Amino acid sequence: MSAVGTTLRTATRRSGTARDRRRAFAGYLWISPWLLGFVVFYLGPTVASLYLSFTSYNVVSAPQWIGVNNYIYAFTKDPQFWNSLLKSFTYAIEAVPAGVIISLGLALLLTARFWGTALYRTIFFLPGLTPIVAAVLIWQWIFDPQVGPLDYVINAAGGTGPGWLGSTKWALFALVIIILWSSVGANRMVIFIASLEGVPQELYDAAKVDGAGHFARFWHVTVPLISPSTYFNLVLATIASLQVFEVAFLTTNGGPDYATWFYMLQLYQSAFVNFDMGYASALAWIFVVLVVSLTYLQIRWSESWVHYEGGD
Amino acid sequence: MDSRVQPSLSRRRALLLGGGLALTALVAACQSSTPAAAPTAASASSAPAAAPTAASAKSAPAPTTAPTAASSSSTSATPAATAASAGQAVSLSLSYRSGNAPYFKERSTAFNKANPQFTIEQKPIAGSNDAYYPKLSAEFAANSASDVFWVSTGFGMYDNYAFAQQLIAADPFIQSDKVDVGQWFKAAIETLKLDGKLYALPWGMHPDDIGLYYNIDMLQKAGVEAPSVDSETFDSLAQKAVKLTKRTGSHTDIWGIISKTTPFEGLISQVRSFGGDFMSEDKKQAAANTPEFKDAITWFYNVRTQLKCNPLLAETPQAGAETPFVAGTVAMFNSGVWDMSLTDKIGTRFKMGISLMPKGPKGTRGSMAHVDTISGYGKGKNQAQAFKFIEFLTNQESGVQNALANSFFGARPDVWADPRPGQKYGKAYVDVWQTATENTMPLDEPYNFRLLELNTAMDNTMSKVWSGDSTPDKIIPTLQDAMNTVLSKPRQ
Repeated sequence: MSAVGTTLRTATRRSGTARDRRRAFAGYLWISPWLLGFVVFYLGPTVASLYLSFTSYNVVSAPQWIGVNNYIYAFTKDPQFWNSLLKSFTYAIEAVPAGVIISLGLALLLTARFWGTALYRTIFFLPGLTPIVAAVLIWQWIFDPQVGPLDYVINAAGGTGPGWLGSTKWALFALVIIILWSSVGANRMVIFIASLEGVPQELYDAAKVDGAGHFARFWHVTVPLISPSTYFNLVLATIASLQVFEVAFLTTNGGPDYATWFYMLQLYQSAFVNFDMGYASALAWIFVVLVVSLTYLQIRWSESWVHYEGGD
Repeated sequence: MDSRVQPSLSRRRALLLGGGLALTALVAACQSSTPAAAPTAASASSAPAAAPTAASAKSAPAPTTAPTAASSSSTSATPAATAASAGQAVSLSLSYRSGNAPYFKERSTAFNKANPQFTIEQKPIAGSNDAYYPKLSAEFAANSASDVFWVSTGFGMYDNYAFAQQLIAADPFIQSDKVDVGQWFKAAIETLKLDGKLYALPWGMHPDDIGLYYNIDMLQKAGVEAPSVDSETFDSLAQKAVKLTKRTGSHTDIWGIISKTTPFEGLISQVRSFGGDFMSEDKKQAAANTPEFKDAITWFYNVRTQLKCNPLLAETPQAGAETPFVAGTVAMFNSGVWDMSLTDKIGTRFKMGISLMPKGPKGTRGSMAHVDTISGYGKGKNQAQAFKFIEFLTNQESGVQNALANSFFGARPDVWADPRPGQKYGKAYVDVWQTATENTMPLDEPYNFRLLELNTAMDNTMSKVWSGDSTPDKIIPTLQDAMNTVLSKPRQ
């Protein structure tokens, strides 16, 4: 009996393996158009950029192998490499915590049960739907030192506007304001709302019974239970903030005096203005390593404060 | 058994199918490079070699099609060698920035009318230079560039492309077609020469942002005499700007002048007026540390920080000078020939006058010839025919149409002599700009062709001065270093 059973199991396994292979093969065949696109348009260029990062390549002439010179140049000679990193990190430090906290604050307000919540959610979400070019044009007008409403109010109050986008000291902060306006009520807020609505009411009730006030309930119930969403938003916001490009490209183009010269702008300038495609590829790979490292650190850090349902 | 995933093909057939699909995709992807990989005998012989000089060849990146001494001879490039016989159908493609589409379509139609055997395929590229040049460069890399295309000097890629042997070598065709290069302004031709050779013909040219537009009504109301083209000095202009500036408390209601210092070329022309320049003669070193350079930027610094008749960077309207000028909050501003068309926007609100930025202490008015060209693909199949079209797009009538359509005057004296632009824009404007254009100095391209990169370095460094955060004395060593950092890079 047991011998027969073993034979049957073996046969079934063999037949199952062959069938599994056929099924897998069919599956690969069905996704082959996507795979082909992935290889040609994503993986191929990615590998090509790694190769190009070791070359001098201006697009219109053949690439010339120069080893790690591009990387050495970036770290030791490029006058704007470290500045661009500094500007990007400064921006991230200003924009990420503020963005996450404001989004959470809005989400808390919009999960409160009061009249017109749906309308307010829509209103707060609208800036996220506004194309960045349109948003930038509006904000350029708002910040305009001659005709902008912001300076008009400041002047009326007896003050003088700081010059905003034209000021070496204020331009970066002005960009943070633009980005916060367009992002705090968008996807990040929606994720927080969904997360907040998933917190079981009985936990609040239990905490209330234990004598916890509003802040204690928020700190000891809400914050831990939405921590996976907070973590998710934090990781995405950090990556997005380090990738910031459009808003600076459209408003200040990195100036004045490199005050808004973000890393992505440095990369863009190298690739599509200076046509140093090899150097730009090296910058891109440095960025990849940087973002992966940061994300890894965030993952390690998250182990100490992110609480998953059913986890230890 | 789950019938939904039951494969209906045998593995072998599926492999064949998949392989076939992949091969098809691969062939399709590589198709565009086929002409370059295997040029026809005719096209190979017709391609005039962009033979670099000995000096440039030394530092040139490995050319994709190394020209030999023999192939660079004009005989092999004789258009007649490959020119289609009269009446033979020829198809040419034409690329340009999409904003100029109406003009190029009209010109293509006119060319086609005169030469029915030609078919012109329009390939406009959407966007400004930021989008145009990456696309054109990618087309060169893929050997799929248009036969004929617009390319500019200055902020364009003319020299880079010429150096990389992507542009048509124009000299053999100029000789064979007996084209008289004297029909264009000398500055235009000189600007286009790379190592003594031409790779395009001039389509348009402007002498830089050296125009001075002013609000006549505002000047009359303030009792200020209109700036003179011939006798104005930088000091007298500054005094006029001070008189025209009006303030309420700390707010400036009317600025006397907005002078252009960004991008760099507006400034460099003024530096030339003071007798300086921005590069050494060999174009390999910065020349910002000269007294003339300092005198020039000191004037621009003073009108901003001492006389306060020109806004600081942080006070400058986001939209540039044109919008506040039209709105009546700026009395004078300096700009280029294209702003002649502002009269349409101003309408009857006020009368606009035109002058030029003053001559410098030694009686010289600085300028810089920004030349837009029509060139052809150096590896194209129909270069002889393409050059015929290039000649057409750079002739007098095309220049006049360019002036009428784009307020961008051709690089030809006979365009300025034509009455039609004057009738459209007003003779006073045309006369002043003609004066400026006739005496234009050539554009200086850095030895390594990194003009845009240099501009970025200059703009950002100088913005400290235009913000009032630094002074000319302090900034010049920094500027010199920043410029030399770019100029020391290899040729591009």
